[in-house]
Order: sequence, then structure tokens, then C-alpha cells
Amino acid sequence: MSENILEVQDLVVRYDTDFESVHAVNGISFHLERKQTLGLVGETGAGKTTTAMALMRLIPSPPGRIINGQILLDGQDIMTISEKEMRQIRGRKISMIFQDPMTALNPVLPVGDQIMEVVQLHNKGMSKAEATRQAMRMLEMVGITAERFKEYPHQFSGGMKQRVVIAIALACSPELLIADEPTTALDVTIQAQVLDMMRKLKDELGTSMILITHDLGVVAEACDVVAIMYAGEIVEYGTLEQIIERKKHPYTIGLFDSIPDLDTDVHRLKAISGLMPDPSNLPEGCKFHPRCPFCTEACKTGEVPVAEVEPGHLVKCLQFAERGQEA
Amino acid sequence: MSALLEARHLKKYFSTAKGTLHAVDDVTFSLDAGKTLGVVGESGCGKSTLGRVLIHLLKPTGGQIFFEGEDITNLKKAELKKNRVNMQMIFQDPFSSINPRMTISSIIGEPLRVHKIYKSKEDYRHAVEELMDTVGLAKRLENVYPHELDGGRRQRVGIARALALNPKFIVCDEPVSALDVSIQAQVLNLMQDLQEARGLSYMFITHDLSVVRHISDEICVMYLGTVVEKAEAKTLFTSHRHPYTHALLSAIPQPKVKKDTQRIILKGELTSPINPGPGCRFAPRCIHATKECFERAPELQEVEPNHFLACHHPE
Amino acid sequence: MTASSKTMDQKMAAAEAKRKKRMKKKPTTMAGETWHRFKKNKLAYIGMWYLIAMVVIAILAPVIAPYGMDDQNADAILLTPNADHWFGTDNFGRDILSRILYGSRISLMVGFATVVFSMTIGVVLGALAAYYQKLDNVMMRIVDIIGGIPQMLLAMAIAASLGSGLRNMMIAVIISTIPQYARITRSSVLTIKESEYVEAAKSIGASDGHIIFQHILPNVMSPIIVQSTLGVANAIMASATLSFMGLGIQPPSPEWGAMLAAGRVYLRDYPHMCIIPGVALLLISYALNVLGDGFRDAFDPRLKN
Repeated sequence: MSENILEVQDLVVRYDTDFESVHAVNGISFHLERKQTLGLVGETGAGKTTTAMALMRLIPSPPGRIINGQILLDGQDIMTISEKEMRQIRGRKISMIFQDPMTALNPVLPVGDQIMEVVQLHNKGMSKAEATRQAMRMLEMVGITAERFKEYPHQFSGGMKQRVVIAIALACSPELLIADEPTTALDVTIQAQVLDMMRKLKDELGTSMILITHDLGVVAEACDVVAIMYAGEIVEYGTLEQIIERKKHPYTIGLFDSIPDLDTDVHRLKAISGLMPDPSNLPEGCKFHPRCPFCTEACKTGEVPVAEVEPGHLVKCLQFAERGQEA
Repeated sequence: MSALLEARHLKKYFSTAKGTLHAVDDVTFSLDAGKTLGVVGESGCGKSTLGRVLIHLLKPTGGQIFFEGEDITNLKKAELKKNRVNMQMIFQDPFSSINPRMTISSIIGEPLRVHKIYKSKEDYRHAVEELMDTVGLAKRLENVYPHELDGGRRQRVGIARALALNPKFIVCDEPVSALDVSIQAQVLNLMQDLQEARGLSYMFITHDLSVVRHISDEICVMYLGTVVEKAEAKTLFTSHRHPYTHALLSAIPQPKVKKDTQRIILKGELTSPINPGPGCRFAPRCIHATKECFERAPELQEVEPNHFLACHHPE
Repeated sequence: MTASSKTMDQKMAAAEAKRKKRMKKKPTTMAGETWHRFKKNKLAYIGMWYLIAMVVIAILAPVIAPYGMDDQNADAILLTPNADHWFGTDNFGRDILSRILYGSRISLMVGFATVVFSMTIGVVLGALAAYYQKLDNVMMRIVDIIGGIPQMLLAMAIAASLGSGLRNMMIAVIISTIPQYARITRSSVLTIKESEYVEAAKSIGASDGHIIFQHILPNVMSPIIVQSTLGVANAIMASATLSFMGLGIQPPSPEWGAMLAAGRVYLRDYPHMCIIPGVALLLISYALNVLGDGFRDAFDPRLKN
């Protein structure tokens, strides 16, 4: 048993269509310790979901392709194993919940049966009665009374459906749970309920988690470690405290400045100028340089090295590259 | 000064298979020129319906709407068309609110064509160019189709369309909630600039409380069709007194490491206001609810100057 | 870096450059993208070219036909295909190839003309029914009644009561196919009607006519185009069937259905009289069907995969 549940080295994912190559993920590396939650933060097109799909080995191919990289799940290289072996791993070791609970559930099956299906699939030979008991336990665990076992998805509200989805994902007690914007479709008070429940469950079951979100508030609520993604790269990586209190990368700073603060008054928000770059036509040099207020000539060409500004706090920006070398 | 827009006891009911849905139930407020009224609430609280009733996309079931002192609740077709010049709307979804088969310039110019504002083609083209410039859309985008634009630029198209007739009042129905954070700030800044330059009044409908605090002068909190609390933006955030407002505010996840507020996790689910009972609609989820709350609905009362509250047991 | 890995890298770079070269320019218009998706469907693409060829043949029939369509030759009756008569001759010694070529004019004209009429009427009815809820019940019930009668039976009844002939046959086909267009338009309009851009148009004070023609109809055209492509095939088949039964175009006009009917008597000894017009009908109908499928996939890429 290795110390890190997940280690990703230099992952590159590209989508090739007839017209263009979309550079979705461009050489990201990170690791996740057991029982920790990693927040993958970024805007549309930053490559968050592609990263998650790559970890599940579910990149649609064609047009998608993992060009490079190594993914070690619990010490096992999942890039080299067969599809059949991977199917065994999905659900049992690594499991995923999606943003929209409406489409993740089968509308014509009772929710209890959908949980049971997963339980039985991964525990061959388990009796029906035992699987039912297990499914009921899961429902109770996510805060739904077992009496609703026979009800259909349309009889549940959005928040309750997301709880069912979480119950399905946790049915085989996976070691790693990937949650792709799990609360984005929910109302604020319901989001608070679901986040609260997820936190409790994680502690109870000892699951490690990757939480994909664009909401910095949710990150602060739920994560231990945070990776800020921009244009398929991790531009800043560190503990929650490092990212929130001592953020360094201009994009991270811009992102935090873009959201209105509840405690202070500003007349105008400090918006990041410009748009997300087109992933099929990324700029040379630092991918953020066209929007960066501190852009220099050096930023416009060449590779940007990653600098460790303090233990465990990595920044991909030239400003800190030199300082990092000095230190 | 009299209010620009005033709603008195506005009601909108829908009949559904399960009974009468009280989407908006007895809502009263007024809005001054150049100000922003924020309307917050969760899904099904009737905030979008309220906005649509105000600009005559839906007919109210009861109550009255006044614009510049004039009753505009029941207008004839021709009068209504004239009135539409004053009130416009910016929609939530930048992907479904503009026609995918029209070019950017023809979408923005549509209100001008419908109302036949300009006689000459030159003047019309010039006006469209000016609108595009106002919202920060490059001139080269004139003849492109919406699918080539990202969400932020599409929302700018929607804003330009709403501005075309030079309205005094704009209902903004979640205008930034579909946008990325960095783009959201750009669009909010644009809307503020436009308000200052043109003296616009906004009704800003949203579920995002940090955005509503930033942009609003006054905020109105709705729950299942009724207004539960209404106050100036700062007052509402610092000294709110309705238990629902409290729970709602405490539920906002904030990007900070240490939190000083105690979170209240509401029990239960949002329901829909179909054939509501006589009591307070929040009572089933309220921690302070008593027998009285289930029997008699509290009325919206002014508890402090300009601070309205509907609760039997304010905090 | 070792020498072998270096050559590997070079190889990869070369492959990459090759792939980049192969990459086409991205179409910038919606029509361009649709066309690109359409071309990927080889069968539909072939179907389209077959149809274009047939239209050209129909137009040029008098020029390219080796014989006149009514030229009888008593010395060459019921010949099987040979060098002089590629498709053989019929019981009056008429050249079947020439008659097929002339017949394509009738079939295509009937197919396209009836579809234009029934589509126009159906789309208007469907759009009105969907947009004005009050009309909906009355109009759609009538459409349901017409649609409830089997299409062929209805067409036969109409053709029989009006009498045979080209015009009456077309009327029969038009009336019997209107419900298809009305239904498909109504359901599409009902969806588009609720969209935010229609609400936006209402909020600026646009009239109903403006909303229907500017915003609704352009956005419901794709399913209607698909339906009408399939409808042309349907109309060609329906008119051939009516003619086959003697309710449509009368001999000696070289209509394919009528040619089939004429060949029926000689089926045992001279099957080519039936096989050739039959294959002509089959091919045109198949081409239109794959074309319609191709359009559907091209218009809405989500339906596939």
C-alpha cells in the first residue's frame, strides 16, 4: 500500500478532429494523499473534466487520445492494464459523480435497484437479500430513508437525486471518488446540505476525493489541497491555506478578485481582461500571458518552469522561477 | 420623488394538474430611477415569474403595476407595444436567449426594426454599430453567428439588444450565472457602467448572494412566492431578521480559510407553492416555528425605516 | 538521450507534421459544418449524386433517349435487353430505356411538386396550431382524422372519386401526406415557442407574424427538410402505386408504375418489362431515403453516437 492514493505524471490529452487539435490537458502532474480532498479549480475549457475522464480512462476515442503520462492508482499503473482490468477498477477503486443528477440516473428503474445493480456487479455471488440490505444501508447513509427504496428518480428533488448518485458512487466503497461539479446544479441551502453530508461520509469511509469545481467558495468548504488549472495546465498548486492566504499566480489572484466579497465594499470588480484562450490555438510561452497584468517579453516565448515558493506550494510563473532558484 | 416602477399586491397563479400554483403571491415593492433592486431566492421561489409579469411577458392574476405613476397593468395591444420601449429584459442563458440563425448585428438591431425607429438604412446601421461598441463587441463580429461566440460575448449581445430601445428599466434574470467567474466580473462591470451612464434601473434576479450584494441598492428575499424580507443591501447582510434570510446567507460558501459565522443547515427540501396553506410558507423548515406560524401567515411590515419583514418570530 | 530515442522523436515529429498538413480548414458557417458532416456519410453522398444524375437525365430525356417514348416497332416486340435496346422492348416494340428516361420526368415532377404543396400546407397548419393554442384542438383533430386513414387507402379513395389523371393523382397524394408535415411542424414549433429568444422577441414588442417567420420557422426547418426528402420518395411510390392500379396516369404515358402494370401480364416469359421499372423505382426511393437519413444526421449531430 503506497502512501499516495494517486500519482499523475506529465499527463497530456488531446482531441484530434478533422479541422484542429484541441490541446485539452498539457502535461499536468500532481499527487493525492490518502483521505485527502484535492480541488481541481478552473473555468470552462481549463481541462478539469478531461483530467477526470483520463483518470477514469474514459476519454472518448476518437477523437480523444492520452498522448503521454503515467497514472498510478494505489501504486498500480492504470495506463498499461487492459480494458477488462480497468472495468474491475472502476466503481470498486475509483468512482465518479457527475454534475447533472438528472441524467446520471435511469428514469425507468427504482433508485434502490440502481444502487443494488452496482453492488451486485462488483460483488459476484452476493445474495439478492444481502445486496438489498447493502443498498438500503447506502440510502440511509446519504440521508434518505430506506422506505424510498422503491421510488423512481422523478419522485426525488434535485438535491435528493444527487444524494442517490452519491450513494451509487460510494456503493462499493471506492478508495478514490471523483466529483465533477457535484453541487453546481443545486440551490444554495441544498448545496450546503450536500457538501456537509459529503464531508461526513468522507471522514467515515476514509475515501480520498478529487473535487472539480469553478466555485472557490466550495473549494474553501471542502478541500485540503487545491490545484488551479488554466488552459490545460496546473498554474498553482498548494494546500488550501497556501492558495487562499498566500496565492501567487496572477491568474489565481485575478480569479479571487473577480468574485464580489461579502464583507468588503468595492465599487467595481477587478475583472481579468480578455477571454479564455482557444484550446486549439494556445498562445506561445505562458498560456496566460495575453491576459496577465505582469506580462514581460520573457513570458511570451519558451517553457515556463514550475517553482516551489514554499514547501508544497508550486507556481508556474516566470516571476517566481528566478526567485525560486535563488532560494 | 415618485418611484419609477411600483408593484402593488402583485399575484400570478398558474393552474396545474395538482392544483393552483401560487408562483407570485401578493408582492409589493417600488423602485426608484437609477437604482437596482436585487431579488434573491432559490429555485421555485417565483423570482423569474415576478420579472416576467413586470415586463408583460405574463399577465398578472391580480394586483397592479405602475410605471412613472401610470397604471400599466392592463394595456391594449398598441399601448403595450409603446410601453415595451421603456422596459426590457436580459435573459439568463446566453445560449438559448439568442436566435442561432440570425447574425449578431441583426439580433441587436431587431428591436430597432420592430419599432421602425430609423427610416434610413444608414442611421440604422450606425445605431447598431454604436450599440455593439457600447457593450464592447468588436465591429468584425457584425456578421458572425452566435455559435461562434463564447458565453460572455453572447451575453453582451443580449445586453445590447435590451439597450437598443433605450429603456429606463431592465429586468436582469440571472444574467451572469451561466458565465465563468472571470467573465462574470467583466459583465457585471459593464452593467454597472451602463447604469451610471444611462441612469438605468435594474431589477436583478439571482440566486448568487455575493453578486446581488455587490450590485444592488436594495434586496428582496423571496421564498415560495412571497417576499419574506426586504431591506437595503448592507442592512440585509448585517442585520437580517428573518430565519430564512439567515439560513440562506450562512449557506453561501466563502473562499476563506477561517469562518466566523455559524452555518445553519436547513432541514428538508424546497417544495412548490401549490395550494399553499394559511400559514407561513417557511414554517415547515423553520427552527423557530410555532403553532401560530402554521395557522396565520405573517404580513410584510416595516420593522425599521426601509426594512420590511414578514415573520412572527424575528431573530 | 540515446540515438534510438532521438530517431523515435523525429519520427513522431514527422508524423505530427503530416497530420497537421492533412488537417483541413475549419468551416466558419453553420451550413459549412453541416455540409462537412453530411459528406462524411458516404451512402447519403452517393444518394445525393444519384438523385442529381436522375434530375439531369429527366431534363435531358428528349436529347439522350435513343428512341421516342411512343415509337412502336412491330418487328421488335418483347425483345430482351440487347445492343440496340439496352433495356429491351415491350409488347408494342417500344424501347424500354427511352420510356424509363421519359418516365423519370413524370416521377420526379410528381414527387417534388406534391411535396412542395403538401409541405407548405402542412407547415402552415402545424405552425398555426402550435402557436395559437385555441386553434390547436380543432386543427389537430382534423389532421388526426386524415392521418388515421391509411395513406394509400385515402389516396385511392380521392383518386377514384376525382377520376384518374396526373392532376387528380397529385391532389390525392398531397392531401394524404399533409398530416405528416403538420404533425412534425407542430411538435417542433411547440419546443421553439418556449425558448428564451422567442420570449426576448415578445419583450421587444414583435408581432406574432414576425416571431413566427423570423424566429420559429427558420429553427424548425431541419426536421421538415428531412421529412420532405423522405416525402419525395413516398410521393413517387404513392403515384406509381396509383398508376399501377389504373387510378393514376393512363397509358401510353411512360409512368413507371403504369409500365409495371403493363408488364404484369408478361411477367412469366418477359420479366424484364417489370424488373426494369421496378428497379428504377427502387433505386430512386432508396437514394432519397439515404439522403434523408444523411440530412438528419448532418443537421443534428447529437442524434448520432
